[in-house]
Amino acid sequence: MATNTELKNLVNYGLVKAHVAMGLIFFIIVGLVGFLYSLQLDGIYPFPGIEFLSPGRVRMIHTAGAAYGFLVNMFTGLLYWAVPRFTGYRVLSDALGWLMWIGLQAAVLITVVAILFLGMADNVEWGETPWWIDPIIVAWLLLCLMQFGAPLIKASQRGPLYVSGWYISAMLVWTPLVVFMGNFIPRFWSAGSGAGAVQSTFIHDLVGLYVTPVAWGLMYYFVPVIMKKPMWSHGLSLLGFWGLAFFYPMNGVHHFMWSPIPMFAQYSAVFATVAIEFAVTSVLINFMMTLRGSAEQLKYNVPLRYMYTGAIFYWITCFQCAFHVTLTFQKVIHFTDWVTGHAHLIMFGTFGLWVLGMAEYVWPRLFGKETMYSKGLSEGAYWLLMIGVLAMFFDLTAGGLVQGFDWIGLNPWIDSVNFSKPFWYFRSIAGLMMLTGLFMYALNFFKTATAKAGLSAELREV
Amino acid sequence: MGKMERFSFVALVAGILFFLFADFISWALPMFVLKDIPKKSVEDLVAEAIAKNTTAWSDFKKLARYYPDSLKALCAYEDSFTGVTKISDSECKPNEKTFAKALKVGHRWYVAEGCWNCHSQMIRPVSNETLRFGIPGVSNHVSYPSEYNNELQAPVLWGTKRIGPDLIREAAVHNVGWQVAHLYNPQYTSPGSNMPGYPWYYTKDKNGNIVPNERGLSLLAYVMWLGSWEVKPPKDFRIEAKAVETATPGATEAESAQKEAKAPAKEEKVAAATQEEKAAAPAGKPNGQQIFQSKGCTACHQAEVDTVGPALKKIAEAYAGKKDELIAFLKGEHDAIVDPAKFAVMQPQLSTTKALSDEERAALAEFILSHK
Repeated sequence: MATNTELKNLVNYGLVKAHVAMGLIFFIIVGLVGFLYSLQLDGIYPFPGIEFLSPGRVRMIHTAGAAYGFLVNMFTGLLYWAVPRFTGYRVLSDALGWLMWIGLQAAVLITVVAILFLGMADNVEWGETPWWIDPIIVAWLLLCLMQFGAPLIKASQRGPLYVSGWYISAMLVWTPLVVFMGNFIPRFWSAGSGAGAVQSTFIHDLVGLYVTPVAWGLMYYFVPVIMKKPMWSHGLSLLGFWGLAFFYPMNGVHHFMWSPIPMFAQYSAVFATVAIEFAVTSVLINFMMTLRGSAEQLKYNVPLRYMYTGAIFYWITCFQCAFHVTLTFQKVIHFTDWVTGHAHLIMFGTFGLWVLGMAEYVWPRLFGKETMYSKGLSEGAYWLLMIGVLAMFFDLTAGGLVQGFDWIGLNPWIDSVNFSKPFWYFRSIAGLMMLTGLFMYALNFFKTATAKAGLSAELREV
Repeated sequence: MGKMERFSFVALVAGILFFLFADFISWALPMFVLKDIPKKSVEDLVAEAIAKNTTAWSDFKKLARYYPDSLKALCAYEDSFTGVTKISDSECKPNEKTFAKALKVGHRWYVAEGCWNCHSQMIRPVSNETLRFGIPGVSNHVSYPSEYNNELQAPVLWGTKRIGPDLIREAAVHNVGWQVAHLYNPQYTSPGSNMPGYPWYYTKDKNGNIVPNERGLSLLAYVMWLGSWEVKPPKDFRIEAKAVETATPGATEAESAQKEAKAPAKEEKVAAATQEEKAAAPAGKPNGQQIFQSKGCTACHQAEVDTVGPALKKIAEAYAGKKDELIAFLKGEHDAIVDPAKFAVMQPQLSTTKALSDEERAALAEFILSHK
């Protein structure tokens, strides 16, 4: 058992702070531009007729910013905390870490400038970065493989890796392959339906082979650490990981059902998607059984509550997915706001809440404090974010059904716009709730970092 | 079990092997199935459009004729992102080179503006999409692989979300004039739409009219290219289909209901009206109302209310007792007096009224003046 001093020497606190802080800043920016874009749908966009604030461009900042600005920053920061602690080895190089930090922020800012001001974008969903940025991102991900691969390799020479290590090792190999595949093959090698098949694989792989494994890897680290007990079943951990690793990469084509992509690829995607829900359920059972006997902690421990709320949302989205990937559901819900609601529940409701929970656990410890500055801000932010995203999910799901059936009914197109307006207004209000929650969360963060005295843990530890 | 939990095993089996296996099924195999469909460059597409005289080519020529200064600006336009270069003055007329350049530049800005975030480019074989987005009487094709296998669909522009309608058959749905007005301010043509306006694709010409600039001209040429391969050449389907509709009064009720359903939203009322008034049309003498409806005037002019263009009632008031002046206007020989500010939208349409015979023009003017 390593002592606190040894653990402190393992982790570079500066890198964790820098990445998590930038991640939070980008989270707020991404939320703001998302809200801005929703105003266009409501017909009250505040900046009409300005080229670089055109809603279409702003939307790409919302999606690309969420991927590279928010999630990559947050995850990398948390990896700098978790990987050395569960492997027992430092990352490859601190200097490389700072270089990568600068590189990541530069890549994101250049992307923002290119999309907003230069009109350079790529029509790959979640790969809106112009194609000349993509080699930089691939190179960055290869550095990431070296940086975090070093402690993982060292640790696995000594013995079996912990569950988190499997997820993170696989993610480190997958991500550069995924970004390379999704951004270069459809542009330079293929076109049309073939490109569509690659693009759909990319959309899903960036979620399934980057965001999901890194997030589960961190969950397998943080949840047992916070609850101070091991996972319920090692067998289920194995089943969950290998199920995900095998079926997830095959899911992609379900984004383009009823498209000109050959049907065997579409069927295999449906099959793999339904199959993966079993793997996901095994992971969820493992986490729920781990919680057994410790559920009381959810009352007092906000980070843990974030993680379990996100886990339940994860299962809801996956359960929903098993149904709506089928060809029958696709007839109605494809192209509608249903999908948007689904995407927000998984990206914000699950991964957003998870990283916020993990960051809230890590942040006071980075500053030698035992708890966040304000319990009230912490609780308020949680409830606003949770209720906000759930409201948005239900609203968009219902709105999507209205749109889908309206389109099948061959009503004039403008009808579907008019019918959707109440749902779009409500979505903006839900977005405002989420933004308010984020601001409260950020204020708490800032106050925790700058508070003079060490904050006592008396109130929270039970 | 211990071996499974090492970095090297996870990286090789899950990281590489599973990934390659999934990619093989998800896209390498589909690509192999589709390998015999040739991938066309923009130059191939342009050569084909010119050889077949598709509507994309005639619409580009129209744009070049209406906005010659913008075509000159397009020839001078350089852009390292798409790799287009200057075209010399001697070659700066509607030809393969300028058309290819317009498509490339138009595609670039279509992507840059994120048009694909709200407009899909795929017709699925379900949910009545062939009825909604197909071309009535001409094409009820669902999207098929070969129409996407070209440089302008790499990466493919299917999209995953619709706020606005699908655009892959757009060439057959609206004409150039409609698109010019729509892109500038969608409210002109589609009241209630929540699409933003794109005024930075427009500039003022030397007469003070608002006209598309070089980027706007390219973007419009690109949009008019979408689906043009499905429009039967050489005649402009948009007129032909209407004529077909008016020439078959014996259509069964089911057929006419289907036709109505297929008609784009705005024209639905008009289609219904056509059904009622068809029987009353006398043979022989040109019928002003029939011309008005078959030439696409209804896209912008309604009887009572101002939409894109002024209401017929308003026109009739302004020209009351001045039928000759109205005929002169339709010939392009008279200034706009009803709503001069929007004349830029009408100007391109005058080529249609100029092409009418004197008799037909007189009948059209008579029909318009009958709205009092």
